[in-house]
Amino acid sequence: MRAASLLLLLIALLFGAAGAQAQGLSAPRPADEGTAMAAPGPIARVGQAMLEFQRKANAEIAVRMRAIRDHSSPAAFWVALGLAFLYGVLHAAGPGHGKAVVVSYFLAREARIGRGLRMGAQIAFFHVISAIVIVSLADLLLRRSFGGMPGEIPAVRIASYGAILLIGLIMLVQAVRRAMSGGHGHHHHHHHDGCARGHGAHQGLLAFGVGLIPCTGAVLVMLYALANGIVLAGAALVAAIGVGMAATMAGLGLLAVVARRFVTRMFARHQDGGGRLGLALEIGGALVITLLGALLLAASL
Amino acid sequence: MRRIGFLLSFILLTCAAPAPARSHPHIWIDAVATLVFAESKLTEVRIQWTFDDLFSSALRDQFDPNKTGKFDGKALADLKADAANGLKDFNWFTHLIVGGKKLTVAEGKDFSAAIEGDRVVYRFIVPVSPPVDPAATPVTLSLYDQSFYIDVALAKENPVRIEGTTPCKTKIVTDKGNPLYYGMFFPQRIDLTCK
Repeated sequence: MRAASLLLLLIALLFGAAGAQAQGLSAPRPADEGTAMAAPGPIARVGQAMLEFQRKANAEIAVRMRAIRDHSSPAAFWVALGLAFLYGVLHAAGPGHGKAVVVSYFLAREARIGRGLRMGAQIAFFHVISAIVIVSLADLLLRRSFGGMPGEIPAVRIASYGAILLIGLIMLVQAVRRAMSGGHGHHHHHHHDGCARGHGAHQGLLAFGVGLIPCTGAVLVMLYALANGIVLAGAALVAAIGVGMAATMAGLGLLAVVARRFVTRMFARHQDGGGRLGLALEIGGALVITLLGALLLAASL
Repeated sequence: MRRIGFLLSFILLTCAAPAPARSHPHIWIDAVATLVFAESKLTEVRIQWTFDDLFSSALRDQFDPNKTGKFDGKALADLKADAANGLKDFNWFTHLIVGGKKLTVAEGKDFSAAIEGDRVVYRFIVPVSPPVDPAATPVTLSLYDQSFYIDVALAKENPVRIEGTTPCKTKIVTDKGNPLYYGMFFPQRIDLTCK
């Protein structure tokens, strides 16, 4: 029982470490080449299909956006919307996009299924708003696009990673307090008013942190829309990308909620096993989020 | 039931594993490579990149704000500096292997940026110095972004060209020995066969 909890803790820490290494803290070096392993056939084919689709979708969206601009095809808008949605779904399924943070969050605390879904939606919402607001502001204020991408504006990064780090710390403090009070505290989570509000705010802040840095794809769509004078259509397409991403993120959040419940129930048979596991997950999850937030923030300062 | 739970948890962990945000392609390039020969020796490789619509638009927005249809003056200099800065750690995506050793491409010689149609086109040269006889020394060329932030593909039509006289022919193969993008993608490789 203890072993299982420790194992989960270890996995959580490995996550954090992997996140640190992976989060662009080191660009791939020429030495890295040739050391990668080929994925098994079917997985490789799925990967290639995804890449092919994204290349095509990107081209098709541009074609449709021109058609929207030229009013040359009534269907163009709807086709573009559909493509944007699919692009969002696939894109969120790919690497990055704060999935580690979301999953850690839901592994760390007991939550209803609805929360997992809402988290995904919140993140996507922030992604979309961020793309529209940041790009429009930049266009307005600077009359130019970004040299790098918005994720590379220091203020945006700092706000994003700062929020993640903050939530991680809050969660860590709560978890440690609980541990010190004997670990029996909140085994069964009743959502009293205070609790629910607290969690809602945490979740919202985390979603903000994760969603703040807009997806480059959304930014490019928005820029194209601005350049071609079809701002509303651009915003709608970005929203569609966001909804697509929300679907994937929500799915994953859901999976995390279910996985945690499953694991908790499995261990609940042992005496007080559930409590200890819950604590291990809570601390582990909080640690991962804190680590990711801290390392990302440090790298961007 | 247990097994399903474990499977779910495993899928979750692998899908959610942190990964470089950079590694997801956001920019697409159609590339053309011209191998230039003099006296049957390879002297240089000329590379041409055509960027996708959306990114071309973003580049034009930034570096041709007055819509002159050209990049020039300070804007061109800034564009070059940006490009050079971004590409220097990635070998300008040009992986030319001569006799088993990869050439280091620290900068794009004779770099030019043009607007053709609505797309932005970069051109640059990778010199092969000293010139190499592919009949004696094996030469292969692959074009890709290691980090896969940019998806580089050979253009659909006539992506590999030869200039000058040479008995060598080019062949495009899939390089299974060089997995990219989490082992899921194998870049094209241009081989020179001179028999």
